[in-house]
Amino acid sequence: MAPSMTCDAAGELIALAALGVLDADDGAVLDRHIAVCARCRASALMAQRTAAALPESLDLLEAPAGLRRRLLTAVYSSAGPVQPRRRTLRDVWRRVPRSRILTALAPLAIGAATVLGVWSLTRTDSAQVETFPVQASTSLPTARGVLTFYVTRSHSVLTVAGVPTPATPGQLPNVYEIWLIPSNGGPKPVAFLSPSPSGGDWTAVVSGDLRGYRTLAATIEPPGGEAKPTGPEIFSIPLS
Amino acid sequence: MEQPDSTTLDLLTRESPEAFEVIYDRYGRLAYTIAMRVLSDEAAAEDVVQESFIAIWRRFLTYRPERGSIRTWICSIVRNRAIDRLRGESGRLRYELALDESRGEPSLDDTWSQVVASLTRERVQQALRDLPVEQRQTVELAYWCGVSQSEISQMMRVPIGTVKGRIRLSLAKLRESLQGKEEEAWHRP
Repeated sequence: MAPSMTCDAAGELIALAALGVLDADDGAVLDRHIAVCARCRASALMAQRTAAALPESLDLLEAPAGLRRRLLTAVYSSAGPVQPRRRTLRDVWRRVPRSRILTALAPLAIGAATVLGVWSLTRTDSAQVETFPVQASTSLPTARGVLTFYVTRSHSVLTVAGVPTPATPGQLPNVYEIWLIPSNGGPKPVAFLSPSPSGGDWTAVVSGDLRGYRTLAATIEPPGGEAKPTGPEIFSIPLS
Repeated sequence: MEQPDSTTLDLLTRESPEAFEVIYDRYGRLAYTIAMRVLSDEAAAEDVVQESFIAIWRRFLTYRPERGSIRTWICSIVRNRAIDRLRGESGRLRYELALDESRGEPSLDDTWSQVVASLTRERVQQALRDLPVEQRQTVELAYWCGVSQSEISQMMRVPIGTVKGRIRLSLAKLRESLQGKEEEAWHRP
């Protein structure tokens, strides 16, 4: 198939495409040309790489900390156990032993690997997940929810409903601060509740192993939070 | 601009939140900076970065390493969403080059890949400053504002052919400038 446009005309479209301002119709014509013209394909690759360098010119800004917290809360809340990667024939081939002794043992090895593979693909992580229900306090009897502790990851996701937006005494609103209370010692601040991006629920991600703590609790605190609880408790979660 | 290790990317395809955390920590600032560059509005930029990273989390399987680095992919998602928001064009059909970086092109030397790997902010900024002002403005309107060639033509009061010419020349100069600086650096004692 002959190129559907001249290389000179393609050069103009390539530059526009690299900067993201080529319309779809012209893009289709360009696609047809670079599919059959190695020179223009090379030019397009160069133009694409040059344009990709433009963000490097920016002086980096600090992203808001709340953004990271909200994103991680959403992601950890939606994640199930990490999916096992599908085994490919290449993976199996790599495991075929090359020495004679190992080759003789290959059927046994393959049999054992099959049993192990089936076991690893079919087992669930249910034993690695613990859940704890929210117990509302008299100051916020509508609070309900659950804390899910992913044991192997040492991360927990707290999801709570029935929690209103905290009051705004000044320019900034109060916060819901989360505390872990050990068997011995004072409460440790670990997270803030954030409104879920999908609305309705409030969520928090708590990093670390919950074993060794007897209770998780939430209090209302001034903007920015406190090092020790000062406000009323809105709910608690016994961890035993 | 270093690519995350293959284990992180592999874990992300298997929906590992820890791998997502690594990716966000590496590219979150850049993403927010790009969104701010396009939108100049903190709240809107935050929304765009949040939507973009949720999309990255949900659609990571659509990432094609052979078409470019994950950094380039993330930058493209954030910039496109920010421009859509700026122009109120959610879901706009946009043409993008989809070239296979891994496909061997005998006419290309390896210099450029080394240039990209060693780019610094100052060097890209200098390369942009070295462009004639009308070319730099044209590039910035197109790349950071998503303004079409005909709109640029109206805004700058020049024929559309001039806009095309400026964009083509500016990209060629940028490439020469960045590549030239790299070659200078190699020959420096």
